[in-house]
Parts: sequence; structure tokens; C-alpha cells
Amino acid sequence: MGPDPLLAWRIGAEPYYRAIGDECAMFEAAYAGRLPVLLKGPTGCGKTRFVEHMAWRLGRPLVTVACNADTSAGDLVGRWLLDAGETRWQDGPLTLAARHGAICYLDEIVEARADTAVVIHPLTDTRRMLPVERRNELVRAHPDFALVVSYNPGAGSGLLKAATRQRFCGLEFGYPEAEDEAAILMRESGIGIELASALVGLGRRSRRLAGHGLDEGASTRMLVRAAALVRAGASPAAACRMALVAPLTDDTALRDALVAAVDASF
Amino acid sequence: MFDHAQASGDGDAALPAALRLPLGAWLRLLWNVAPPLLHVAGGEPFLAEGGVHLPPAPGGQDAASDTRWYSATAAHAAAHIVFSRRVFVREGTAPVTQALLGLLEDARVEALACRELPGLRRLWAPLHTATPADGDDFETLMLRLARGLIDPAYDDPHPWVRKGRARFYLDGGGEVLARAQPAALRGLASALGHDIGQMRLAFNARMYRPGPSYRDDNRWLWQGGAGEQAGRAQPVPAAARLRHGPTDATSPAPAQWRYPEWDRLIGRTRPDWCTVHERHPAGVVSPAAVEPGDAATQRRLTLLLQKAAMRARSLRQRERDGDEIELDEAVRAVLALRSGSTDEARVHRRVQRAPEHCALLLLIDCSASSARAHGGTTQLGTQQRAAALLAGAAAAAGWSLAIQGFDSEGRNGVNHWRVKDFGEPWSGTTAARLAGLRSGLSTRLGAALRHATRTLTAEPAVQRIVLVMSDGEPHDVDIHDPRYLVEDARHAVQTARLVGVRCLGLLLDAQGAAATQRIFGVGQGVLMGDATQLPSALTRLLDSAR
Repeated sequence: MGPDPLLAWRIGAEPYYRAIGDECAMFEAAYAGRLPVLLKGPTGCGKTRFVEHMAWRLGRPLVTVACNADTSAGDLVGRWLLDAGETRWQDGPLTLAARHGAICYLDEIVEARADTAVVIHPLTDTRRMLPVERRNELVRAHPDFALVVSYNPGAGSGLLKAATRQRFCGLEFGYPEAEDEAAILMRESGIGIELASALVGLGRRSRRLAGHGLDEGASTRMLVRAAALVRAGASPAAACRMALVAPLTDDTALRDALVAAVDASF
Repeated sequence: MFDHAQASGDGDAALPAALRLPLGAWLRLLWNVAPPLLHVAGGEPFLAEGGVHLPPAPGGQDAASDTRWYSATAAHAAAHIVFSRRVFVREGTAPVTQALLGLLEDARVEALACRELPGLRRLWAPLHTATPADGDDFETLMLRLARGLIDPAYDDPHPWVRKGRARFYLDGGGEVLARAQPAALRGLASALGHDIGQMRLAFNARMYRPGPSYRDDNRWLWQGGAGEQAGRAQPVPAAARLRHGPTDATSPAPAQWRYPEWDRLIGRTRPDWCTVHERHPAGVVSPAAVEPGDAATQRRLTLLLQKAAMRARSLRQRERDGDEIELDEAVRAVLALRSGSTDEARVHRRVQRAPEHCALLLLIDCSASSARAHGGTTQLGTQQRAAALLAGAAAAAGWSLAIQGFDSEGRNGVNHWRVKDFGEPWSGTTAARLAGLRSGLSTRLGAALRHATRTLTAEPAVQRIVLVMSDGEPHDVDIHDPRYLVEDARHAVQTARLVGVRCLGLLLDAQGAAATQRIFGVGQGVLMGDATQLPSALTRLLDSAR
């Protein structure tokens, strides 16, 4: 055997994840049956962190693909490249994971082009195989292979076709409850409970503007960053302006309102 | 904080956008309330059913302090909306007690607000400037008491102010309210009012107004509505002055068009048979509204509209990276490589999608049957909510959208209520027009569809769609054949298709399913239970005609 093709995708240290319910046990049960899992939830609420944590717990490498509007089936499966004088096949991340036995995580699958959803279909039922049309090859999935996809229902649950959705088991994520979110902030950045509560309150306030100028409010990830800035010596208001207000919006009216809400919060 | 907008015009109107947008977002952030924000030319701020009425900032200073004043004023009014329970009754309450109750309630809602958002104290307290040096008359004492209740650093020597403060808070630091409920303030108000009488201080109920200037006149607190306060003449709030019901408020002679109608019995169209009148519905400012769940629905709508617009395909060749290798380019590249060229190989091809410009005209059925109950509201209510959601989503997705209500009273009385035109932004004005639609009269759908088609064909777009919400069964006073108007509407849909306009139906009542299918075609009419089902219904409709 050559070098481990999945070496780069192995997870060394435990990624911190605070379980909200029984999602860890349920994910383990799904993995035991190699059932594909669909994670739903808004951006920055901990879906990716959860998958990393579970991959680490299960001791499997994790191949992550962040899908965007240009992600095509070819990007996932692989493509022919031109080398000196000949063509050479390169596995895409999905093929790599299926061939060698990793957990493949397609982040924000609805963002990808429609043909990607179809490509994963044969991998998600009992066939567990990946036809690589362009190379005329049928890759049978490694016994350790599992597929996890995520998407943001705020971004249109109607947009994932029923034919695709129904192949998955689902775990639903939301922003954590205020108490859990504060605990996450304290653990991730080492701030005190009072500041954590104020930051969480502000985060929850900003989520009210979702659909009213903002696509989404401040995520847990953003709050963790604000907390980290405070930990590094910034004032809470300045930290929130940098970690929350600036990334959330370019609109002056919204920015002004957010800055005022930041000032009112501390 | 906010760009200062110059006040202009008379009477109530929507606040200029430069103020309305940041203040609206500010109030949502604070307490998730969205009262209409209205401009009044002068006087003091006040809160009424119609919304928060803001006069120009007292001014005389820089724009930044005007901005702070607006923020403070809006936040104070919103605190009333959130925390005040409107339990006070003027009858049997002495005028001086009324004034004191207002002051104590102001302080109570601000204290509750500051408990949640401590920074608000830094916004409000500096606007209180009364000191003992200003005098000991009633109005000044009131201002001093108000300051004593919001500013913990302010220590007033006057025993009356001290008494008020000591009995308002349980602790010296001004953190714990002695009276958490508004009704419990009444005893303290009458005690303090009694002291005013004992001190022989003159109180002029006609002239008194709560201070400082950012505080509204407290008419909101009193049962019996927004109109009167202590016998003083009040400006009539905006909502009360607007006429209700879709009556033409602007132009006396509405524009009109004539359209043919299909007569199924003779199998021909009757030329110039129907007359359509266009009018603007009178606007109604709806009260403060919080719409839970609407944000997600609107987001879904935006995304599905964006996806539906992505229909223009273009093949891009000679790409560095792509789905397929372009054979001719590959051969050329291999030849080039073998002949020692170091040029980059651009041998891939990739299909790209680009958005097309889409225009959608939404038709709202305003006939009498739209008053029927539907999904927790009326059919009209569902349609209005759906229209508001669609308006936000269309703007975000880059679709052109027009919204029209329609009803009819015989073939020469088809009305189109112009809520929002193409190119007109979704604003307080259009939202008020939408809220101003009323149920009445009948549904001559065919004429409405023909008029919508004409409006839509004038709009430059690649995809043109008429979306009709209705209970599915057209009828009119001068038609007794139940199939006549169905067949006419079907004819209108098919004629529209010939000029590239797709007509789709959102059905509000399952009973109309057969007629809807007959009119729009199989799969072109979908049942919608309530406005939250709009995204899934629209997805099916937009997918159906691919």
C-alpha cells in the first residue's frame, strides 16, 4: 500500500462540541448502519463542528466539501486532467471518500448545481456505489464510507428535491438555547458569564432582523469571535462592532441600528 | 447614529426613509416590534394606534444629537408598546394624578427596558437636564422627579422628589422597582399629587406636557383611545384621517380600458365587452405587527424566485476548469505540449446559468367571498400577507413585481386596485394600500386577467407571470351561467400564453379546484392553506410549466 490517501483529512485533536440533545448518539446509530445523514440549520449554528466532532469520535477521516453555486457533479466525482502528452484521472472528494472509506461531508448541498444531488443518489441507498461515468468505472463504497450533507432551511427547504431529501435521515439544528449558547461562548473563549449573557442577548436580538434587511442574524460562530476579541482586550462594544456588525451588513441604516443596539446592550 | 433628514410637509406622513429604516431596525432589535413610524410636522411625539408619530428633533444642535434624540424617542415609545398595559382610566382620576401616573409609568417602562439593555440609560439620562436651579414650580419639579427616576447619579435635594424616588424603587441604586405592575403606580401617583396640592403649587392641565422632549404625550396609556388628553385639542392621528375601504383617494376620473369577453354559447369573443377601471386603494396604516416565522418564509421565497430566474444557459468553452474536456481543444493542447509550447491548457467546457429578468403581476381577489374565514384570518387576509411576503422576496430576488386587487360589479364595473406598480418600491405607502383593500362585489376573472396581461406585456422581461389568488370560482352579478365566466377566464389564460404571459392560480378554497384546473390548466393552479404555504405552492407552480 502506498501512503494514506486520506492522511490530510484525519482529525487529530477533539473538536469541542456541546451536545444539545441526543444528536451524538443518534449520529452514531446512523453511522453504525451507514445511513446517510442530513443536517439542517442556520449558518454558524454548529453543524460543521458537530460533524468534525463526530468524525473524531468515530475515528474516521472527514472529507469536507463546501458547496457553492458553481459546484458541479464533476467537482465532486473527479475529472480528467491533461498531463504531459496524456490525460490523467483525478478523483474528486466524493470519490476519494467512497473509495478509501472516509465520511464525506457536503456542506450547504442546496447551493450546489442540480446534477450534484443526482450523483449522490446511488451512494445513499443499499447499492452504496458511485458510477464514475467519465472514467467508465463503478466505485463500490468502502465499508467505512458514510455521507453527511447539510443545508440551511432558511435558504429554502423546498429547494432540495423530495427524491434527494428522502434518502437521508435528518438531524435538525438551531441556534442553541440562550443558556447553552452562553456556555459555548464561555468554553470557546474563556469569558465570564455576565458578558457571555449580554453577547448572547445581542445575538438573539440581531436574529430578529432576519428577513428584515438581514439574511440571517448573528450566528453562534460570530458571537464566539466577539467573545474572543473581548478576551484579547477589546471593549465589548468594539468587539461586537468588529465581529458582528461589520460582517452582518453593508447597509448604513441597518449598521447604524445594530451599532445602537450594541451600545444599548452593555 | 442616523443620517438626519430634514422634516418637510404638513401633517402625518411616513417618516423619511433615512430615519424610518434605521429606527425601524432599531426597534426590532430592541424588542421585536414594528410599529409604523410616522412624521408629524411639529409638536411633541405621540403614540397612537396608527403608530409612533415623530416630530422633527428639537434641534439647535448637531446632527449626532438629533440622531440620539430620535433613537431615544423611538425607544421610549417602543418601551410603552412592550411594557405598558393601558389599564389607566381617566374618569375619576384627578388631572394632577393623571400627569403623575404618566410620569411614573414612563419611569417604570424605562427601568424595565434598562434592566434588559443597560446601555439605554446612557441614551435617555443625558436628555434629562432639570436641576434645582431651574425652580420649584410644578412642571420643573416633575422634570426633576423624572430625572431622579432615570439617573442614579442625580441627587435632588427636594423632599418631594426624594419621596417619589424612595417609594418608586426598593433599593437606593435604582435597580429594583417597588411597583412592578402599572396599576400599582396609582397609589403613589395620588399620594404625590396630594403633596402637590399641599404645597399649593399651580397645575395647569391644559398646558402640561410630559418632559423631557423625547417622551411622548402618554395618550397611549389611557383607555378609550388615542384621541383626547386632559381636555386639550389634539392633532388627529393619521390612521383616523384616512378613509377606509378601497375608495379612490387620488384621481376623480379613474383610467379605464375595454376588453373583449369569450361567450362560450356563441363560441366567439364579444369585442369591447368589459370595462376595467384602475384606482388606487386608500391607504390604511396597520397597527404594530410582529410576524413570527415570516422571515424564514420570505427567505425561502427569495431563493425560489432566484432559482426560477436562473434559466438562461450558456456554454462556456476554453475554460481552465470545467465539467468536460473539449475534444478539439484537447487535441490542440496536446499538439502544443508536444511541440514544446508552455501555454496553459484551456481545454474544459462548462455550462453556466444566468438569471433572466422576470416580471410577476400578483392579482388579489377582493370579491365579497374573500371575507370568508381562511387559515386563522380571512381569504383576503391570507392574500395580503402572501402579497407582503412576495413583495419583500421579489425585491430581494431582483424580480419586477406589481400587485393589484380586483373585483367587479357587472361587465362595465371591473375594478383594479393598484397596490404596487412595476418599478415602484415596496414601502409604507404600498403596504398601507395593501392593508386598505376591502372585500366586496364579485369576481370577473377573465377581464382581470386580460388587463393584467396588458399591464405585464408593457414590462420589459423575459419571463412574464400573472399569479392569481382567489377562491377559484368566478362569478358576477350579470352572469347566471356558472360555466360562462370559467370558460371566459380559460380563454383569457390561453390568449395570454400566446403573447408569452403565463397565468398561474393560487387557490384558497379546495371547492374551487375543478374550476381552477379548467381555467389555468393541469398543474397550473395549486391550493394554498395559508400564507406560510406560499413557498411550496409557488415552487410547484413555477416548476409545472417548465
